[in-house]
Amino acid sequence: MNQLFSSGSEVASFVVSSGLLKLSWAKNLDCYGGVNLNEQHALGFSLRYKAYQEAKFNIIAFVTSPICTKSHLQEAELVSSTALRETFPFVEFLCSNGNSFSIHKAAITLFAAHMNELLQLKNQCGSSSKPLIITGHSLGGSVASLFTLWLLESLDVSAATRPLCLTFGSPALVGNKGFQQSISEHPVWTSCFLHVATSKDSIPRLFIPPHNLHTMGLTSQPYIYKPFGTFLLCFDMGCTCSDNPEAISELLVAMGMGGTRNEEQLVVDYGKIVEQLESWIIFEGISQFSDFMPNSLRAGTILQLEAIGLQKRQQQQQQNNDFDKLIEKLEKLEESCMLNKRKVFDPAKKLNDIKIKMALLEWYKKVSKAEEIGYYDCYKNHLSQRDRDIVRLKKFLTNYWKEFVAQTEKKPQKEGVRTRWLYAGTNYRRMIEPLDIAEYYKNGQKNYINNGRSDHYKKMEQWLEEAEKQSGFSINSKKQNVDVILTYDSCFWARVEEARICCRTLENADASITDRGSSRQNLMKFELYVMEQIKKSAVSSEIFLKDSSFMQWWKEYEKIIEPHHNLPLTDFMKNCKYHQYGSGCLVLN
Amino acid sequence: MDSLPLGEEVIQKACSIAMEAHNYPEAPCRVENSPSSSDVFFTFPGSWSVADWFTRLPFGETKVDPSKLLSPKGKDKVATSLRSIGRDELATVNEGFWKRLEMILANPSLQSEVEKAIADKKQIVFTGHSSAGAVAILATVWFLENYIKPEITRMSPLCVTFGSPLVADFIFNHALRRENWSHCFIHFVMRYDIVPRILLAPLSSMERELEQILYLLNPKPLFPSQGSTRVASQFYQTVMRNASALTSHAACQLMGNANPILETVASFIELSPYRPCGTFVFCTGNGKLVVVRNADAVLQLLFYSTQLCSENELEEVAERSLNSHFDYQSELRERLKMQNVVHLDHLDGLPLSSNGAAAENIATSMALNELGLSTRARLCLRAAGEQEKQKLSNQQRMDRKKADIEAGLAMLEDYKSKCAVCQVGYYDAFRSSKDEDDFKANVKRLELTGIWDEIVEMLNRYELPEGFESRKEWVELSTRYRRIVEPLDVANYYRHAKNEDTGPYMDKGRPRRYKYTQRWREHALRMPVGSSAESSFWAEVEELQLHRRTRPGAFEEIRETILNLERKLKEWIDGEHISRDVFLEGSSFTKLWKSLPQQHKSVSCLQGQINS
Repeated sequence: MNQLFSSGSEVASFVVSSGLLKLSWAKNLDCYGGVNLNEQHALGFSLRYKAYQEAKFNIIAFVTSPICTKSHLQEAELVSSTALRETFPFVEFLCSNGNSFSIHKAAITLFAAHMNELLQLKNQCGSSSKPLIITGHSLGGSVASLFTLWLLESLDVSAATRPLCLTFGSPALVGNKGFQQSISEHPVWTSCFLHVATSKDSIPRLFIPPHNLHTMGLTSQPYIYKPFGTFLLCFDMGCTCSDNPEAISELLVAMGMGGTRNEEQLVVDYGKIVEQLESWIIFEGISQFSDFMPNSLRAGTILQLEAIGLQKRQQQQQQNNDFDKLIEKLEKLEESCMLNKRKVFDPAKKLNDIKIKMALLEWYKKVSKAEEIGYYDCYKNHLSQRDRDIVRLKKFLTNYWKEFVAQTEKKPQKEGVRTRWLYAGTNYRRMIEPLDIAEYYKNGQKNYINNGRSDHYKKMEQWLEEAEKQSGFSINSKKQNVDVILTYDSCFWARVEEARICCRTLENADASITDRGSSRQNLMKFELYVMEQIKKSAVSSEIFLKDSSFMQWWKEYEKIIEPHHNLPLTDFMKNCKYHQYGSGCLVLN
Repeated sequence: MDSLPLGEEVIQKACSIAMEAHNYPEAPCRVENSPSSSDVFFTFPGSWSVADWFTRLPFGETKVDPSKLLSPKGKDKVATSLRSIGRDELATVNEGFWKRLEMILANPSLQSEVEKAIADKKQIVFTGHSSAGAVAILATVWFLENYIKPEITRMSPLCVTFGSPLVADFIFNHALRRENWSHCFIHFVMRYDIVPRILLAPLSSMERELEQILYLLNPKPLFPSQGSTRVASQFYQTVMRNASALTSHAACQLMGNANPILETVASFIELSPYRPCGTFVFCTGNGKLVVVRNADAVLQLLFYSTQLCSENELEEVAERSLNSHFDYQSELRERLKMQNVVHLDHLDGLPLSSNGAAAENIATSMALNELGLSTRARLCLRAAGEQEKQKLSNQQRMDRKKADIEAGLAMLEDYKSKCAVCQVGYYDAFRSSKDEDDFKANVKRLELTGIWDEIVEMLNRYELPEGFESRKEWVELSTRYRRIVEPLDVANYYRHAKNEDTGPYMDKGRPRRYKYTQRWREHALRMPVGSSAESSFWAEVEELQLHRRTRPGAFEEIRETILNLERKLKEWIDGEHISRDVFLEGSSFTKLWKSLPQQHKSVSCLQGQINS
């Protein structure tokens, strides 16, 4: 077992020594410009923001006038995203799959009031190539967070340098588990948020349960709502960082109860705090463990807590017990975080296994072809042990790709699917979907494309189309060898089955006139469809194998063709031109 | 008691002549070659102008230029050692110091003195103090690449520096360790000496101060001059803040922290590319010499050992950070006699607190205390040790898979000889894949792919020990693998007509596992770049066949390529790198060759090899 480390202090050091805190705070201060601290909150808040152009990057600062303090937020009111959806269409993208999040009403109201100007600002951000810092203090920080999310939604994050949203003492934007996951599973998004909070400031922990459950009106779902982004938690002479929502909640609450409450200040001077933190970097720090401490994780955890003013005190048995529990909890979180990192669905690792399974299927296909039946019909007839083995393989592959599609869908579409997976996925779809179709029609069901098709196939097909449209990525150039290709349209066999059903309808004397009419029409359409595929060399030559369902269809169809019927496919089939299909010497016009 | 990796006398001598060299700034290189000594010392004067340290923003760095100093004479197509082999990433060095070396070498005297020393079988020692140490490091690398690598001599040089700034990035260190050159480099660093830390800060953060500081450090004028304390404090804080950003960023990686905010913040600031290389000896100033080989640990120590205990220390430490740059001679004179040396080797188990050491660790514990290392610093060192251990265990895990690879290769070799019996080469048998054997070979190919792709993935993340890519048994195994399996990948590529979608195999389709391993062999045998391409032979055949099919009349267009391929093939056949099954009746190559114009065939170097 490897040693585990708790590296929150290192992240904090890095963030502080980057100098970005000082720089951003200065802009907040500048933006406040002359706001009177003691001005009363009679007329509500007004939003002030300003854009700065620095040598290396741009900064936008958001603050409110008057400065928002705890007393303003006492009557804290959270609005949930479901209520917001109608008024603010942009939250829509955050709320897919039943996710929801909540935000302070004052923040969203401010944001809404300035929607038009902010839209302009957003468009300007998109056009600059310089990296962007979006910063804000208190309620202004919430607006900054919203603005950043809005910006991210429209930004091609893979291409552009990502913005950094740096807030000071702002009420946390909290979301439910679904929101949490959808954001955190997209590392690019969480990576953009850094919230600075100090124990002297109660605003950041205002909405963190169980601190303020009553005012939040969320008592029915305690602990479900969690903060997101990275938090830099600071105390007089130290700080630590975490991006684990559970750990942040624990720490924020512990900081609030750690006996520092009476030191709470109305308006916290983050400028002074940042300056102190920067100067402390070059000091060794106070901590020197007196007791023998073999475990790196424990040592790192205690260091982190010490940095934010939490430590054991003499003669305070109860608090010390809580302290020990907190340490244990944090260690467990760190451990499970590391474990998860290893367990995370990593498609690359399995991709090779997938290829091996596909090779086994390729062999199945080959053997079926040699038997003049084709793997579609071979599987449909389900005769031998071999076919049953394929069921197992198919299940394995389908699970992998379903998971892959689900994971990919959670990320914003814009990221796109990498070429490697597009190839493998398309291959899979073209190889396996026919088997699903075989099962479907074998059970006597109808209309696979509309009723039976699994979503993951649809998505995969859609990805391919998007990639082809966007980047001219092509997987379908005309192959010289139709013997080795898989039929492009993975639903080809479903169309064949539907055509066969139509043939049966026409043969059935009891069928109504309307049914007969539509069947005939469908068959014509099918003929045109097949002919088009043949011209594009988009079907595998295996469909013409003696015992294939397609050839069965043709036999059935041939019998009921009306004498004057004259579509190109009829000519193609009647004159056995398919023998030349794939030989390269077939001339079609 | 532990000892230093080289003799006390050599160190003393190196130090004194390195310091003395500053007195002769007009002599770019000084040689100390006394007939009575078995050592020859080469040393250089320091430079005190900002322009020599930073040729450009932000860190005055540049990629090594493999075409110049580092290309061994004669074999100019051999790639430089100063890179990662598989990934083929060149090392980055400080351009100013590099240019100084180029200037010195422009005059042939250094070369002739070096060659004279080799002829006399003397120990060559490059040494330097301050920025001259940086030049000494680069000169040593020049020597290693030009004299050791081509085996002109087998006597390793030594490089001893005192208070030298860092000169190169982590790939440089990676390369030195891989080549087993790392042990030649010994760097002495005083606990508070600011100079080895200067290049951790970007020029933009300290341009004006740096000029003043270098002026103060120049041994010629006398100091302290007026106001130096204020400048020194300012400078010390700037360097330390930047060093903190760099070391904490590195520590997060060592500890496996995946918080993505790191990357975002890093994109807004400038982090130094420079990393330590070789063995460091930290002088605590209190009587101990602490020897550290782990480069990650050295980087952490460069920051943590210079931290302050308290605020009131600032001015004192800042002054010391300049003064101690000139304390090496006196410090070493005293300490070497006492031989109070501690090696920090088992980093992953270092004591975490100043008084918590077990009995056997007392010397280590005292050394850590004397360097003023906090618990946090010790945790960072542990993480560095842990990562080194992790790399080793990754290597062991791959070593255990060797048996699987061998078994797979044996099976495929068997497949190959079976195919030859049927008068079709295994390439073409596999390409048409008609039998169950072909299919089984395909599954085996894919199984092996899994193992090799894992290795490539780890190399890309530098998760294997530095020497992995030059281990003889792996170079040989990979060559065997490449020769037998890559043809199958080529066959698969063209069988599925992937060239129609993505282009020729060699341009777009060749997997990294073959590119990397080809470079391994070329590096190990010092072959010209791209010359061990025997395993991708079939890809060329496929493209030529395609050309013959689509433009049958245009032989002239491919004449050169064909001639070249025939010549190479003959060499590969003669060297048994490719077996004779390429000439079998049913082979694609035979068919291609037979399709060539009679006129060409009759004079071809392969004429007679193929039955026509």
